[in-house]
Amino acid sequence: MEKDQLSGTDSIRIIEQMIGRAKEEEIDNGMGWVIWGWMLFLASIINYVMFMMDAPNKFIIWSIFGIGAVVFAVYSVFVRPFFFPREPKVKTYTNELVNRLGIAFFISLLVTAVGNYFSGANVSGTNFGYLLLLYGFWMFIHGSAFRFNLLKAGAFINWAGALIIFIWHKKLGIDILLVHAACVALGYIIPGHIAQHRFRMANRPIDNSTEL
Amino acid sequence: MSEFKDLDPILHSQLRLAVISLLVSVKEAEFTFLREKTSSTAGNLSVQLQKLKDAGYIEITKQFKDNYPQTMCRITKVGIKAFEDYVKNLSEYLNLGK
Repeated sequence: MEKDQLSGTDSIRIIEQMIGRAKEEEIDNGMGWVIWGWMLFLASIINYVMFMMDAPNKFIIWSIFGIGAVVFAVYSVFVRPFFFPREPKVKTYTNELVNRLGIAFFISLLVTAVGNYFSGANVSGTNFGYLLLLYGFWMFIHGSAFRFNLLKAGAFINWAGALIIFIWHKKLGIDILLVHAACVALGYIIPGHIAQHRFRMANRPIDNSTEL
Repeated sequence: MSEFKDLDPILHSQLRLAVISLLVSVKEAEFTFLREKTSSTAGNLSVQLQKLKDAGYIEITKQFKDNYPQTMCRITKVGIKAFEDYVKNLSEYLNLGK
């Protein structure tokens, strides 16, 4: 129903209400953080346990993880949009920017992983420092875009973890894997689960008391 | 003090103002999204969207998605300018009342 009499304060209320509802679309569903976080966390712990047990092929878990990540990235970027296109109900500039950031992150991650292998950073364990630096970068931008402070805090934790690894990598030895796992748990998994909860709350049916 | 200008009659309507406020915040939105967020009826929303389109404030694209028709709406540069002017005039109007 359209009302002819619209006061100035009514107009302001409508503008604020609608901009607020549009912003609700800029809430991360947290799914990516949770999946990626648990994958990294488990890979770190499995690798650590394999070291403790002096198992052969200790780094096989990272090879499996790397292949899985590349397959998933190729599927997400090229296969799914082509064969199973899903047009969202709304496209926001933030979502678009963050999607591109995700692609840039995975390419940077791939280059870093390959670079770590050839530069010998894998042997010293500082490779995890470089990875944490990248995670922190992604988390900080993502958290800023979605106004999610916990993710921004996660970025600082990951940067601190990177610094610890760079400075004390010789002392830490295989405990570097535990530092990596802890940073992933605090930076990805916990914020991811909280983001999932926020997303579910934000997507409850809206109040219809103000029908226009 | 700046001179008060009349508020744009195209935007000075609850539903049209709500639609423009939504579209100014996003890149593009589907008809159903606008209907859900404004809690409006499909018929009323269609009429108001057409008025905004006729004024050149929005673009409407109709396409098919999974064999279902999909209507996408996007604000134009003219629409953004009109919204900015509306907000500016509105703030002047509210300041005059104080």
